[in-house]
Amino acid sequence: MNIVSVENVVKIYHTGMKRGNITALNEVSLSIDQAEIFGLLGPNGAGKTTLMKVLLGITRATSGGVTVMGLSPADAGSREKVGYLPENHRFPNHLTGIGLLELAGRMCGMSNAEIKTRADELLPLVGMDKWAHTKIRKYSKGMAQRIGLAQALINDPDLVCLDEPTDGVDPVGKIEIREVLQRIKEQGKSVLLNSHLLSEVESVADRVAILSKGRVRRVDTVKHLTSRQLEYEFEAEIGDRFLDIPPEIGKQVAVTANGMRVELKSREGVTHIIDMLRQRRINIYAVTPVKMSLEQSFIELIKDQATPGGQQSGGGAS
Amino acid sequence: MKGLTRDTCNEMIDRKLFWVFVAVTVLTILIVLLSASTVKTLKAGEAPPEVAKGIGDLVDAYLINGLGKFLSILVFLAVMGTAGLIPSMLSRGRAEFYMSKPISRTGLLLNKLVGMWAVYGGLTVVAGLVCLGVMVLSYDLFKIGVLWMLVDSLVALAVWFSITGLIGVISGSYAFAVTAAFLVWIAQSLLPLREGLAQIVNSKVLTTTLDILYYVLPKPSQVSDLFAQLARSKEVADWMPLWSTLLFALVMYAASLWFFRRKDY
Repeated sequence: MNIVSVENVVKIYHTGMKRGNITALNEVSLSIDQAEIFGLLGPNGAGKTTLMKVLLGITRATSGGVTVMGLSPADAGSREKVGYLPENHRFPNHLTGIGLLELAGRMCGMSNAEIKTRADELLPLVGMDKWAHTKIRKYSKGMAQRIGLAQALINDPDLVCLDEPTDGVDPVGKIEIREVLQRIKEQGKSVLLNSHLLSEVESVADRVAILSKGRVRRVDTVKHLTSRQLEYEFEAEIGDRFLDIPPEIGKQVAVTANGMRVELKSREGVTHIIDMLRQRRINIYAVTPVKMSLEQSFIELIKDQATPGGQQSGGGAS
Repeated sequence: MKGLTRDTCNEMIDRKLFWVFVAVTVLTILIVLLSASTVKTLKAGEAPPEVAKGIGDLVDAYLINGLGKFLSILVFLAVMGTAGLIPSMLSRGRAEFYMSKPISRTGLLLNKLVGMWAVYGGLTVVAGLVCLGVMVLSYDLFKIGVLWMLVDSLVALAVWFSITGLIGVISGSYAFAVTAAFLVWIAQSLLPLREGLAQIVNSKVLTTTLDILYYVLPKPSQVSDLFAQLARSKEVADWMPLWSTLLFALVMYAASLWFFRRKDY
């Protein structure tokens, strides 16, 4: 079941005569399933935050269709089971941590008893139980992020939108937040995660959308994005020589510490290479498909798919 | 009210504005107590009936004008103290928090504005009642009509909040909101004198413009005079200042909602 559905969404910011229009989102289409952690990746100004704001009705799409929980973002009901942690948030700093949770809970229509029960669960979860009665203005960036995550979860949302959730959080806190995300997923809830930290997205996300200049460049599973298709590492006793692999099968691209790396024309090439090595009485210990990090994949994709300009795109709208 | 009234209350306490209200009230009470003996002496003095009536009117005026001035100061403080609330709520990083909750934009703004009015109006009324109570006890005098002055302060707050609210939504700036309120205050103070100005500057265009401005803009000072009439149990000859001011406020609120519903954050 689609929790979020985005179809051909365009968002154009009108910035006045001098700068012209900025297309923050250009024909963006994607969907988020139930119990899925969906990552949004992209360079600055790609439109990630704008997309989140469109989903939450904070910014209106210029054209295209958006539904959240089956409702239009213009309908406040679409946010009933949604939590949001904004990027660069400035929560009302006259409040304490618990005060923020109370306000967020009341705005979600929760009763005082419900808010108290939920706050008692969330504050220890985000490690803020000791600081619950301290004013937000006295919080460090990391503490503000933690209490921000708690307020996003106060209404036990089915969809949690997190914009740079680990920004300013220490390494231990990052691991804790990752664990919270996994727990949310295990509860059958969905997470929309926007982060510059690709390793973070790689470790928790099921699928990611890569955005650049307001366009979706690719939507795929992390597994697919990080596997280098048809590139294999052969752990074998070949020394430091290059094998004469027939070009119709593939080519050896590198000598590695334990063998070699080859790029094949098809998956059947693996058998050919094994046969070839065995004919030469070379011991084979392992054959593994080469994986690359999400970061490498992301950079390759962004580099490859640079689009010609015409209309000014991106430009800090997110 | 979805928690926004309590939030406004918390914000007021945090901004120390609550204590400013308390300080002004205490100061006013001190003045009342210091003047109590003079007023009592005036009232107790044996005088012919016509002089006694004059003294009575004087004391009434002192009571109504004194309370009116005190409430005006509180309204001024409330307007200054709240002009930044809407821009602050809609500032980058904070608007996202409020607007991501399941409340419509109309509901969000109305809740905030009504919350502001309820909190600051409530505080003004309570301070007014405390001050009135001290006056009644000190001067041994009570006129039920004086309570109209409290209604006046609530109307004034609603009018000024409609201006700061609209400018706050459009500009997102505390400075602009306060400046707009200040300009309207100057205009509404001067426009009743427009006929005198028209006699000096012999221009039909100017006269018409000033007339239009007079009828369009709110008239809180004239509304206060109107409520002072009611407080003195006198008949009000012209209700136009009140209804035109309320109409202005309604249009301002409608415009605030219209702009807010169409704005991207």
